[in-house]
Amino acid sequence: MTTIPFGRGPQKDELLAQASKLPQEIAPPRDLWPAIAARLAAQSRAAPRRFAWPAALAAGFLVAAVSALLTWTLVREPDAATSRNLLADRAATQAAPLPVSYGPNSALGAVQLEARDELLVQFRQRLGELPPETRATVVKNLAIIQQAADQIDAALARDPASGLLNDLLRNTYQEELQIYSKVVTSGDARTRRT
Amino acid sequence: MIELARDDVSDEAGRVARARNGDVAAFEGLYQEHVGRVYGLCLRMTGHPATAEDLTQDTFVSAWRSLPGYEGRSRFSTWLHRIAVNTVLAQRRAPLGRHEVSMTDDEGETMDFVAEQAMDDATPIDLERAIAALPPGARDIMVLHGIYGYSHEEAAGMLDLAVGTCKAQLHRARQLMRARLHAEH
Repeated sequence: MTTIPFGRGPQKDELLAQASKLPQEIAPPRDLWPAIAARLAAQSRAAPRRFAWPAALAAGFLVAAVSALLTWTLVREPDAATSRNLLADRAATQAAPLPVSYGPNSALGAVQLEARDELLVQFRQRLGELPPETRATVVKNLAIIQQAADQIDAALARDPASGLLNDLLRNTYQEELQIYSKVVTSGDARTRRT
Repeated sequence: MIELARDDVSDEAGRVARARNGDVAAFEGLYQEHVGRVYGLCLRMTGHPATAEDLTQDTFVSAWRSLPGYEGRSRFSTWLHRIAVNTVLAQRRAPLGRHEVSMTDDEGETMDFVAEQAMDDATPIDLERAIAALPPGARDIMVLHGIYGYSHEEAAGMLDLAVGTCKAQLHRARQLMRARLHAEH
């Protein structure tokens, strides 16, 4: 048993000092290589190793344009012609949109997703108060972000350590949060314009 | 972190280069070199040996797929650990993949921890148990920073968190561990 000193001051680093002495290597209880080798062989037969970045990059650039367009939509007054043109979309946008789903290769932390959950509560409350055409724009923008998230997740499956792909993922997630934030604060913005 | 001798680095660079060209035997050499640290990382982040085995396999399969994109700008071990951390975080988020043993209940209270497997006879099990009992966020940073020696900046990059958040999580981890260890003694 290791005894850990308690208290404040210099002793507080004793915990980290003890942790740093723990073995970094732990042997797995069985040899994992045969199963890995079998999976590598199956992959080699299925397809050569290559990347699926172009679609993810294109989706990422599309997402970058989403937020600015939404801002314009949220602060302008709806006109009658636009309302008529978008009536057909109304039925499809009555249900509250689901948050963007990030795939199994998109390693967003629990802390980040908790922040989104908190924002979502306010977003859903405010969304119901928006005109149908604005609501339709929000739903379409979230669909664009979902598409980007799917493309990036597929690319991350091939290259999980890619800094560029992880940056794209973070940007996409930030765009999603910005949409929620802009919807939540849209009432304030319209009030300031008048 | 462990510094490799120059010959080891050279050998590893050669194995990486050959593996990038599809040499499975060279990749097996990389596996043998790094499996202990990758499994240790996965085990400590999940607290579940069977899940850690699966995630270790997934990490090496992902690494094999990703090797053509590895440009050697970071050490191979750091690159591999980043993949392992991403794999653990992705599994943690998967709705059907939560095999991880949560050491806290919904209110954040610590639950009893039953060690499924002693790591080895020399392991200070009380310290390992205290780390395993941490909530996931605090545990992640304690494992990466405390055990594997990554800086706050490196750990923040791996976990996709702000550096300040990592420091706050480490502070929380220290508090929780001290409380737990104090209660046990």
